[in-house]
Amino acid sequence: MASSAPDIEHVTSRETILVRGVKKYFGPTRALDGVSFSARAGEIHAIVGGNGCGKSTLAKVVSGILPIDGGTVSILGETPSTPAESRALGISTVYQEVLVADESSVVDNIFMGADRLFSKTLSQERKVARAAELMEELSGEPVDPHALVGTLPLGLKQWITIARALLSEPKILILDESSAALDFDSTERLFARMRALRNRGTTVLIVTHRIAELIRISDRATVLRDGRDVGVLEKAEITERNLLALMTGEDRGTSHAVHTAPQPRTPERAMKARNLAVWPNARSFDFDLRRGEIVGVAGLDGQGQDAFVRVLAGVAPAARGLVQVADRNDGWLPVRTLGEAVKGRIAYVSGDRKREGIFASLSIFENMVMPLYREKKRAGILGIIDRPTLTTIFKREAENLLIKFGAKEDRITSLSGGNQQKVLIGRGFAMRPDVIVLNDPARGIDVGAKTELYKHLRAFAEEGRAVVYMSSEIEEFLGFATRVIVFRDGAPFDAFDGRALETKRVLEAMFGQTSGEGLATAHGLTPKRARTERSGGAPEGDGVRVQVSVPAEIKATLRSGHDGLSPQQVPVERLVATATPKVAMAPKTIRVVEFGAEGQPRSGASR
Amino acid sequence: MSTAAITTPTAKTEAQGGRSNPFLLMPITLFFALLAVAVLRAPSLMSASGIGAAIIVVTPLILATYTLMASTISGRGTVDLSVGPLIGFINVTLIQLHGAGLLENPIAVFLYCMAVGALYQLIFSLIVIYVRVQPIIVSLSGYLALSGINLVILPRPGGMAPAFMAEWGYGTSIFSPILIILLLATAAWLLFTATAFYTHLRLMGSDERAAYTSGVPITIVRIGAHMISGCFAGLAAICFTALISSGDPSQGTTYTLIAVTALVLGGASLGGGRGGVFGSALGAINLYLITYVLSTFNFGTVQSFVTNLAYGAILVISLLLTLLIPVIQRRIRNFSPLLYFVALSVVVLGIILHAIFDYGALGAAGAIVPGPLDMQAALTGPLEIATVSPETEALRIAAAPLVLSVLLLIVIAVFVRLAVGQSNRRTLAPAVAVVVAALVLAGAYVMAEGVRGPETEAVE
Repeated sequence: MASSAPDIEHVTSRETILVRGVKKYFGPTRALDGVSFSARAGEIHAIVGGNGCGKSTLAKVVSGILPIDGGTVSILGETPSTPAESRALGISTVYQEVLVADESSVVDNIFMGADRLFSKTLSQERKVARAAELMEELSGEPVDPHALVGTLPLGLKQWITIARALLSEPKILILDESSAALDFDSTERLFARMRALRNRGTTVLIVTHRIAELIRISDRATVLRDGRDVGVLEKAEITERNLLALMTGEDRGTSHAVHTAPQPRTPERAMKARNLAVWPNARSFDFDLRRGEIVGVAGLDGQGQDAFVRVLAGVAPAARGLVQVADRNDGWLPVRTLGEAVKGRIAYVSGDRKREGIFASLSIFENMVMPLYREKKRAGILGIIDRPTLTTIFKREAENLLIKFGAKEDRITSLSGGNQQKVLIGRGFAMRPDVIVLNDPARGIDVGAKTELYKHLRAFAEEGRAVVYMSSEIEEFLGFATRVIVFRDGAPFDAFDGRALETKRVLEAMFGQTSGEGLATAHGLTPKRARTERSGGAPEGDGVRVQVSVPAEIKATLRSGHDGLSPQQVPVERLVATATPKVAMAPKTIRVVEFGAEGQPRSGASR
Repeated sequence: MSTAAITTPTAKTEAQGGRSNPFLLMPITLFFALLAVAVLRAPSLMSASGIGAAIIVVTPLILATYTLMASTISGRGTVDLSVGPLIGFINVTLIQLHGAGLLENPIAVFLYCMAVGALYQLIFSLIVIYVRVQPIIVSLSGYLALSGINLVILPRPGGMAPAFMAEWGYGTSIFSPILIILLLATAAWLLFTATAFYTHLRLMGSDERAAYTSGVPITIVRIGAHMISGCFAGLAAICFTALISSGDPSQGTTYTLIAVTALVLGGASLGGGRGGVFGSALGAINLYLITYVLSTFNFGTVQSFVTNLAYGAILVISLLLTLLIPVIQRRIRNFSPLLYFVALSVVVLGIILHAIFDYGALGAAGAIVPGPLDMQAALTGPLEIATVSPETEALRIAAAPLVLSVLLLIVIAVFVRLAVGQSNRRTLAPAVAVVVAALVLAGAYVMAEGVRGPETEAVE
């Protein structure tokens, strides 16, 4: 409980948020079951916990959009009950969903809610100027303030919601998974902004899954589990181990490390791609996927890794080249469309639940076993759904993945985000595929479920099937992926052996700072062709240790943000002037390299 | 997947995002296409009485479309099906009350009509907000209930409109009181778009959750939108009463479907958040022009079926063409409906002048000049009722400089538009100024020519 936590420091700063024994029920589900926590002025306070533990609910309660069923909430001495009231109090909230009005302009979206009912608080010209300035400052690129929001990419829409919260200096800023749609560079800018606000006395409340970010940014953290607060960690105590121990209720910080990545037993291939190009003007490449391996796919946002896994799964067509999958009679089937992918027994699980996953108005049961209706039908042409068999399958998958649900007839939207994702992964498994392609499936999943997912995928691979796993978090690959392929400019840039995987090296590759020699080796794109010199490196990687190598300019900002990072937290970057492959690269710019902290363009890598 | 779209590469100097709003593209194109055909088929449309009659007929429809538009923008799929019966209800109650000796004063009539409309919409919005029924269900119930109530109040068409309205429905001149009502209603909406309330309305219609969580008072905004909608319904009922000069319990009902068609044709989004008076007015005018053009062909007894068929076909085609809009948005970052309107109006002005000059020169319509079949007659024959005579040939030669100058104007307009687009200042003001100035010049030229030619009416 919070009261048990040491509360000796910072006694001088006043407490702005005081939550005591808050209860919130949604029907039979207890989203919050007596949560207590407090946050002070001038601190960045993180709320952490597994999925369905009530983090987002708590954020909504504090921001006043959810009425509570019990307990007390006191924010700056008051209890707001509508968004308008909390806004008047100086509370700004950025919600998990990207809440923008697509049909309206950027200015109107940023100033949404800032006007009184009939009169404007600022003249339109000043609004336009302020919106343009704020958006350029935040997103690092100019945005037309008159543009319709519907024409903007998702990252900029997210910035609009953040800009809306930062419009007036908030007394309390609540960020609920707000960095989800932002890339690395943008996240850094957001953090710099948060530190500046904190130093001016704002209470910043962040709700996040990204433990690496949380450790870097937060001053204190309250850990929730099952709708209750289970502990408060001070700055010095915020480590992965402590967080995980509190979140899971047991010390499983080390359990992760014992796993080694599965190694294929046969050189038999499950899929092959020849002369593949994911973008029309990107370099083409070959790719082989062996049976029994897990291939990790990484890259900065929008570098083609996403398109690559979609091409492999037949969801999107390739710009050039052909993907083929081995059938069960040693033949090869082409994968050009989704239909062919299903025939080739390729399952695709997307992390974008809302758009590529759930059927929101159907039950949990239907969501999981829907693809099997046709396969398991009975009575021949009548095609009656075989519910008993499907129920067995449903039960098995639900138990395997530890899905928490009420009744299987409940709507899938009654589940928390992480549990919805588990249902989708269960759907993928239930189809008994030969190859499973996962597109950032761990987005919004808690640590316990992640561990379960890895275990299942590992077992899946050991049965002689293959897994392609795209992730935006490198630490997911540690002790899990057989090899990791890093994408850059729409083509593979480098590859790493999963047994000797270093997060730092992968990150360097993502930023284009490695030689790219890994591609031709045994853990490269086409393992069979390479000289097989298996130097068995000791399995490294201890779970979720994170090292982030930061470009120099950004690092300067980090330092200016007053909490001095110790030297090993900010690794010395080795910016090797590489002989970049002399190929016609796509005319794409990589934001992280192109912009410095203040948004000024930066010219290339220097020693 | 979304992440791929986040870092779409753009030149650094170029601001992200497009402000193009190409939804008016279809209504404008259709408007001028129909106008050109209508003028060629029946040049009498372009006379004071022709335009006057058109305004009288089309105004109730335009106002009914405004009624729908105001509530549709508020989102939640609010398509007010009850607009037709509501107009009918106001019409029949007005006639009955007038018959009973009440409501003699014009001001009282206006206040009564708008108050009834607003009251109905207030109840509508309260049900939608507090009972949380789907708006379409509420409006359907309203449609059925009001259709019945109208017949109870006035079983058969009849009664007399208030005396002051008697002359409104003649439509002999362009500047009738009906036009003034229409212009005032349009101007009121345009003034309204400058307020914070309108911004709230659009934000709420586009994404209600976003608006609510940002502190927009959505309940009040929704009620306000419905009240505005009700006021438009009252005005529509007044114009409708003036048009038929009596009471009719069932005629108003037909406005529902036409108004919904006009709204969609005008580029509004039934999902909410997008819609405007220009689009709605153009949509309604387009439907009128379709009827008008079809009436110049003789379909006999199936005329009304052909009209409905044309409505449906044109609606579907225009919605299919709307699929091109994302493509347009990708290519053109700043589409200006105003400039497009001006450019097309120059072309159609030429067609109108041509039709009227020919007509004037020929005197009697439909005179067939015997002679060898030439290519031009074969091409223009199906479109034109009048045929070309030697006198008009001479006139055409005289008009050649005019045509050339019009073409020149279009070229200039396109170039100026490009120049403005390339420069950093994102305003259309210079381009519009140039085009308007050129139009004035062209008008002056026409008038100078017109001294020699027979009756060149001011057609614009």
